[in-house]
Order: sequence, then C-alpha cells, then structure tokens
Amino acid sequence: MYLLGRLGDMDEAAILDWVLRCQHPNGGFGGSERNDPHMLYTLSAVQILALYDKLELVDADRVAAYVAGLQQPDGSFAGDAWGEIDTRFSYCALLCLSILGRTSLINVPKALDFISSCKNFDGGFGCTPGNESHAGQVFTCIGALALADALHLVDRDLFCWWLCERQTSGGGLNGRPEKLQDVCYSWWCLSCLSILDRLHWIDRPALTRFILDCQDEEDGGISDRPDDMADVYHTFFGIAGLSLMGYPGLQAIDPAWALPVEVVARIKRRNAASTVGAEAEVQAHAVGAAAAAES
Amino acid sequence: MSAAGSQPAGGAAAPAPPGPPLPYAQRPDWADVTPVHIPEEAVVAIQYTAEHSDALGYFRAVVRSGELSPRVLALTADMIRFNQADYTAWRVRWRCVQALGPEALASELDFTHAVMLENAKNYQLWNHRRLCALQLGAACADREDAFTREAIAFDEKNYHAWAHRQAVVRVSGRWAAELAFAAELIERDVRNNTAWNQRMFCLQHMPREGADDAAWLRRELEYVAGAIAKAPRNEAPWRYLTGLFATLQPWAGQPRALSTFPDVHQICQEALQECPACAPALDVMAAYYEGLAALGVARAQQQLAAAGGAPGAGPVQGAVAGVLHAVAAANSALEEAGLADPMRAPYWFHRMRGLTPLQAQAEALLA
Repeated sequence: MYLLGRLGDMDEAAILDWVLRCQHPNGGFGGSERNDPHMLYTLSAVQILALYDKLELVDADRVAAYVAGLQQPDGSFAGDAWGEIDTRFSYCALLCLSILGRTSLINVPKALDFISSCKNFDGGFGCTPGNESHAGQVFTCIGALALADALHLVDRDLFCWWLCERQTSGGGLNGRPEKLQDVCYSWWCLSCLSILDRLHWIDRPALTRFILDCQDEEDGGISDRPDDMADVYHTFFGIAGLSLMGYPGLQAIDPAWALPVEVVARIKRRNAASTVGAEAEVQAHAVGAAAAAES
Repeated sequence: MSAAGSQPAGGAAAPAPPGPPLPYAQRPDWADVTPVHIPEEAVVAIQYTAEHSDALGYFRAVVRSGELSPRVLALTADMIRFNQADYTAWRVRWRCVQALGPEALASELDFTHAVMLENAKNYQLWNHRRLCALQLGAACADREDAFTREAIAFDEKNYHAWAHRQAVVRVSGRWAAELAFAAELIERDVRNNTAWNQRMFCLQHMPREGADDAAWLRRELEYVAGAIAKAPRNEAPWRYLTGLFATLQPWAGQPRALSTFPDVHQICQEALQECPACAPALDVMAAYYEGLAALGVARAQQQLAAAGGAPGAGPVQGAVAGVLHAVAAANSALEEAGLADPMRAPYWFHRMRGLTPLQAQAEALLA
C-alpha cells in the first residue's frame, strides 16, 4: 500500500495495536496472538512499525536480543525455538537488526560464512549447504550480503547470468531451470539484479507486460500467471517488481531492505542519530569519569 | 463454547462412533481442562471452523500449562489437520514426541507420511520429519529413501524432499546410492536441474574412484555429453559442466581449468552441429576460448621474460598470435549467442567487453 501511495487507506491504530499484541515477553513476535514467536513474524512486525514510522513503540533491545539469540554456532539462524535452519532466516535476522540499528549483537562474519557455504556451482544459493539454487532463496542471500556490505562474496557475472536465464520466452521469470514463470520471481530475481547493478540484463518491457497481464481486470489484484486467481502475495511481488523497474506512479522500493526507499532513508537517519546520541553519551560518561578521577 | 452442539452428542460409554469425532468440549478425557478462547480479532479475523475453534481452545490451554502427553500429541494431530502450517502445533508435537520416548518417535514416521500425502510442500512437515530421521540416525536411511521417493515421484523437483535426502545421506554415508538415485532421475528427465544439483552434491562429498583425476573427469564429461546430446539447449548439464571445473578439486584451484580440457570444446562443437543457435553451447565455447586466451597471455608474458624482454622474439609472437586467435573465436561465439538469444543481448555484450583487456594485454606484449 505504501508503494501505491495508499498507506492511509488502512486503520493504522488497529494494525499497530494488533501487531504489538503479537509480541511475546522474550521480544519475538508470533504470526498471531496465539502463535509462538518466530523470526519471520518478528521481521514482519518490525517492517510494519518501520512503514508507519513507529519503531519507538517497541523496546528495540528486547526484539534484537530475541533475533540474536537464534544465531547458531555455525553462523546460521534458526527460525524459532523449533530449530529449522534456512538462509531465509539469515536475511530476516540481518534485516531486522539493520532496521533496529543493532547488527553488532550478532556475529556478522560467521553469518556471512554460512551464507557463503550455501553458494552453488551455478553462482546461486540454496536453503542450506548443498541445496539447489532457488530464486527465492538467492534473494535472501544477496539481500543479507548487501545489508552486511559483503557483495564481494558474490560471483557476479556467473550469478547474474543464472538470474537473467530465469526469464522465459513469455517475458516472466521462473525460480529454477525448466520451471514455470511466476510473478513472485519478478521480485526475487529482479531485486538481486538491482542490488548487483545488472537490471538491464533482462528484457524489462517483456517482464512489465507479463506482470500487467497477470492483473485481474475486475478486482485489480495480481496472480502468479495470467488468468489464475489473484492474491495478496503475488500482488505485492508484482507491484514491487514494477517499482524496481521504475514503473510510473509507484514509490521506489529498496531491493535489499524490501521497504520503500523513503522509509529506508528514514531508518538510516534514525539509526545515525541514535548512534551519535549514544556516542555523545559515552563521551559525556568518559569526561565525567575523567573529571571524577581528577578530583 | 462455539463448537458445542455442532456435532451429534454421543454417550461417554458408547463405542467409538463411526461419524465425526466428538468436540473436545464433550470429551470426558479433556474434562479437566478449561479451554482458553481469545475474542475475535478485528484486523485480521481468521475464519476458523467450529471444530478448529473448539480444538484451539484446548490447545491454548495446554500450551499454557506445558502439558506433554499422549492426549496433547493427539490434539496436535488435529491442529495440524486443520492447518498444516501451524508451526506452534508442530513445535508442541515435537516436544511431546521427545517427552514420550522411542515409540512415539517411530509412530511419527506414519504421521508425517499421512501429512505428506496431503501436501508434500509444507515446510513444517519436512522440518519435523528431519528432526525425527536424524534422531533415528543412520538406521533411518531405507525408510527415508522410500519416503522421499514417494514425494519425488509426485513432483520430481520437490525442493524439500531433495534437501531431506541430502541431510540423510550426510548421516548414512550412502553416497554411491545417492549418486545412483540422481542418475536415475536424470535418466527419467534430463532437464531436472534438482537431480543435477544432487549429482554435484554427491561428487563434492564422496571419495573418487581411481587415482587419475583427469581420467575420472573425462568420464564425467562423457556423461555430460550424453545428456547434452539428448537436449542441447537444456540449461542444467551446461551449468553442471562449468560447475565441475569451478567446484571440484583440483580444478577449482587451477586457473582456467575448463580450457585445459579439449573435451569441452568437442562437447560444444557437437551440440552446435546438432543445434546451431544453441546459446548455452556458445556460452561455454566462448568461456573455453576466453580461458585459452588468458592462459596464452600468461604464457607469452613468461616467454617475454625468458627472452629478456625482447618483444620481437619468435615464441612471444607465436603466443600472442594464439591469444588473438582465441579472442577472435570467443568474440564470434558471443556474437552468435547474441543473435541466437536476443533477450539477453546486454549479457552477451558484457561478455564481449570482458575480452578487450585480454586482447590489449596480448598486443602490449608486441609493442
């Protein structure tokens, strides 16, 4: 809705109130009030708060501690206490902590080592080491590397060639070789190409036509393929893909943060201000301590 | 309770009725538990069925009390039946299984099998099954093989099932059998990239037969050539081919190892005879010549140093001529690729630009 310039069409107070009710005492958020806390929903909650510029409604230290607590000795992240390991959770952790300005709570080099260990011979990435490259998964890995300023770990030409090979003759993108095109990959693949500065390697007019062909003429939603039933999931990925290609009338989206560029800029200003504040505090403390020592 | 009355009431002493099960609110063995109901949500109201809502009340209650028992295990089965992605129900189920011991663990294999038959792409199912399999250890190998084969027979690219096989083979060590399975699936569908990935995964982990690495690789290249002959435009074996050199030792540690095997050139040539506008063959052909050019530049630089820096020396000129020839051959392959695959013209152009430094380096050696 933000990308469409229509965030105001929804009941902000009710949404925020409900999101906050999904939080657990350990800082994590569940998918609903009754669900256990989970990395996926913790990130969603933080993203929603960021979209509304209401990050101050949560105790960032507590949320960040929950996320950091899911890091494993090998650098990977579990989704929750149940222990599923997946590079998706590495991205969720890095993004969540980046939004909260608290990446220092985790071992970033180890997190990067794990992502690197999931890199395959085709330049892409899978869920865990050895798993096949998958376009959804590569987004999470490239996004995580971008957030950690570690894109040097990507085999850029090989990987981007794999990405642009995902475009089929119908203009849409698929997620793996010989699979069907699907609107959701407009985001997964395109965001990576955008992060790696290779958006021009695919045929953008053909992809734009494909996404628009998937829009339901009556209800406005976007489906996975032309003539299928539209849903919220594919509507978001279609709009986000169009936004990355600079489609008129849409707000720009940041490919690594998966948030509007404006919101990312606001987050960065907020974090920079709090860092300056914290530094000033440390400095004041040091000055005070020195003065105390002198007296 | 919202569910009360939605089912025909049966007497507690009556034999198990053949119809739908009793609501939890009417079950004597749950009478000691007070269900927990949360008021309807305004923002994202979930349309629970009466049955689901009834079970949910009791599920919330046992989550609060922390009870881990056979009846909670049975309750989670219902919860998962209502919503397979209910990760909280799965987590409680796993905790029950751990609390109830080996028998419960064994019966999980049947339970997860039943869930898989309904939806083989559920993340929670596969995580649970993996936890069970890994707890059973190497002894699980046969059963997991049968389980994943069933899922893969239904969808040959089921990501979860192949990942599960990887987790199991890491424990069981049955690498040769896994390689054979991948070959079987490649035989069934040569375009199955997931099976090709599995083959590479095996080769990365299993010991190699014979002492001669180069002879081993040539046999592997023959296998790839056979697959390419069946479908020259098929992306999977081409990526696998370049991947062999980029991934496996000792080649991954050598500069431009792909270009030191003329078999690669031959594979490309044969594919192009069969299918002249075959973009992946032109791609690999260009990579082969680009590598030859890079190796040639290095050789010419060595010769120049050996000749005491005299650019006119015969061997240097010969090496430079070889480099320029390789650059031209790579260029023409890329030009053809651009014509064969205009959708990705910017990529082919990028590759051509990558040749310019090699040409410049070679020409500089003559100056």
